[in-house]
Amino acid sequence: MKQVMKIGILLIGILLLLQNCEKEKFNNFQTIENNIEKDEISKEYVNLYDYPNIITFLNTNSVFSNVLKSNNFSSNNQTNDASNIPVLMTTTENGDTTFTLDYYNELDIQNLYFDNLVVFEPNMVRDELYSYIIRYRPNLEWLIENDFQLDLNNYIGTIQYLNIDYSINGEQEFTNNTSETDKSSQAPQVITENCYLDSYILNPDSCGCGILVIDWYCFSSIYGHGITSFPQGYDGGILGGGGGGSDVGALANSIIQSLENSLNIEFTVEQNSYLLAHPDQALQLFSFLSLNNNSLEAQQFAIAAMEALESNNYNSLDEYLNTLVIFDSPESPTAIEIDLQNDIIDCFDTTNNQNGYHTITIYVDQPVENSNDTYDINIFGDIEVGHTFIGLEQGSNGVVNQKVLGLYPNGGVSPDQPETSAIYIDDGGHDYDVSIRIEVTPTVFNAMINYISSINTSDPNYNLNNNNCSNFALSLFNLSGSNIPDTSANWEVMGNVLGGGTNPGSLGQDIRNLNPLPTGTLEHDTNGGNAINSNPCN
Amino acid sequence: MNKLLLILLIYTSFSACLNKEYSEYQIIDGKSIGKLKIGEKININNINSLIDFKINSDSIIKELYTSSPRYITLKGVRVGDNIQLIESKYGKPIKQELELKKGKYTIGKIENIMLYKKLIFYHENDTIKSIGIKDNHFF
Repeated sequence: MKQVMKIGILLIGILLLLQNCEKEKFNNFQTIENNIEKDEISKEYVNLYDYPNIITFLNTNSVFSNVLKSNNFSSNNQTNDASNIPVLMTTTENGDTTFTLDYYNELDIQNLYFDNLVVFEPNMVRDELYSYIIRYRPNLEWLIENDFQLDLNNYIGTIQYLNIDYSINGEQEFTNNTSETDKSSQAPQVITENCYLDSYILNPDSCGCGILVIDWYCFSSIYGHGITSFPQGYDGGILGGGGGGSDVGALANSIIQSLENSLNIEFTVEQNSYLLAHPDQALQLFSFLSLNNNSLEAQQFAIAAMEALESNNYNSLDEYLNTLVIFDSPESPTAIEIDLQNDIIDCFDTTNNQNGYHTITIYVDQPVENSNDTYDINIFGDIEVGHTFIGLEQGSNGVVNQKVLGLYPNGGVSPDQPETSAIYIDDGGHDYDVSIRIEVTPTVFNAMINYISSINTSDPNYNLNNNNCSNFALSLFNLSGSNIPDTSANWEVMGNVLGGGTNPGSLGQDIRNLNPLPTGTLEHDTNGGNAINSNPCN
Repeated sequence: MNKLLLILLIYTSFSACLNKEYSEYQIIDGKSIGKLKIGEKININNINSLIDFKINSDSIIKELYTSSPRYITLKGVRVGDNIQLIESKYGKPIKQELELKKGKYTIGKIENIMLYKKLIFYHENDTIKSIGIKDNHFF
């Protein structure tokens, strides 16, 4: 008897554990379809490629491009791309089968909605397929109250059934008062597993109001997005004279106004007309600025992009981006090489300068301002490693000379091939995050000039790990006896150590936190700015 | 008999809970890895040794990456997979090598990267070594 009880308790334990774990699992994938469609006998995710009749149908009905688009494929791709397009296939007791797919919807600046395409294959008519679009128009307050988490069990809003030409065939309203049973009986097929909503308010003002952008993701592709003013009807704050969510023109005007504010410029009549005609591009630019904190770099890019788009040479921002070569390289004509003989040795007086004043400044442009980070991946997917450079100034016998220079590799380097010859580039005007300027004696200054001259740039004298711009600038500066620490750190890209050494991130923080300041300090700037410009040698 | 049942109980618990953990090991493009979310203040309770992160001076998470094969993207890609799987799932990347920049100058490049709008894959010998997301939306 005792034995039987033990076994019974163990079995109950197993059952409880299983039940708990399952409950947790379903909480993460709450979907309407878990509770509805009582006559469903199977529901599974399949690959579209395995159903060539569906592909043929989609192609014949000219809707395949939207399916491809929603899955991040370009619309002119071959049907082979469909091999990885997920489809929710549901079969019912009477043999009907539906295939539900992500369906791309063009940006609608009037209303928020998200589409699914359903292909219906009735049991009795095997050769004939029907399709329709399910359009979700969620209630904005419901989205906000639910913190934009997709939980269609509690869906509040409208669901519309559209023909492929987008004409409305039917509509259902889901409110707070719609009972769970009613929802179960009404709610249609929908892909919800792995779906989520991503939302952000562009340029919110103090009340948190602004332009609300919501992206609807399933399987990692944005396949629907919409914008509206938030709260709906809001027309104040940064939106300027903008109108409510139901007024397309007003909302477009609001975006354009916000774009103008962000760029701090006034658009020409032509530019304004262009953006009004292409509000999606205005929003794209505005989103770009907002997502990148309206940085100077982003602003410059946005202005250039707008001019390019306006020239009608490009159809979209993405198309324009694909053609860009944004940055110069040190070999670029815009880079000014420092000639050791003319710009340093002959420029600074090292023989008759005992009565002059001499200063050296070390400037650090950190990858991330006020951070030890050794790199940052910027918006263009480039790795910013920062830069350290030097400013030299001499006032001797009534003549003032100033040069700003940094050490660069004179060719490509990489973690695999970190060494190459070096080159001095004029860094006048280069931006920086932190700097310190000290006065040095003529003797120390002369030693610094000798140090710079001693580097034979034609040798492989640039090494990403142990003779980079920061090594050079720090060694030179410390000839003053300042003893700024030399902190080494790894170049660790996504957890993979690719090298390491003295770097602008760590050095910038060391200089920022210097205490006490070195003897002879004239200026300790932790606010950043632009370095002085080099002047012609006098 | 009791021992056998105990083993069965433990096995069942583990296998059942493996399913439960699946969603906890999700990489959501540009948004989160596991419980850590981009743009949120770092929560000490959510930190684990399988996810590396970068935060800004306000302790807001700005970058997350993992080298653990436990985590899986929404399209089913994980560390250890062949990089061919990435392209088959995500199409052509925006970039396959990242330029090293010193301000406006390019000084070199880092290869072995596959960059998408909201996902970064780092690979070696055609095998994914780490998967990351960042607060940037890449172009």
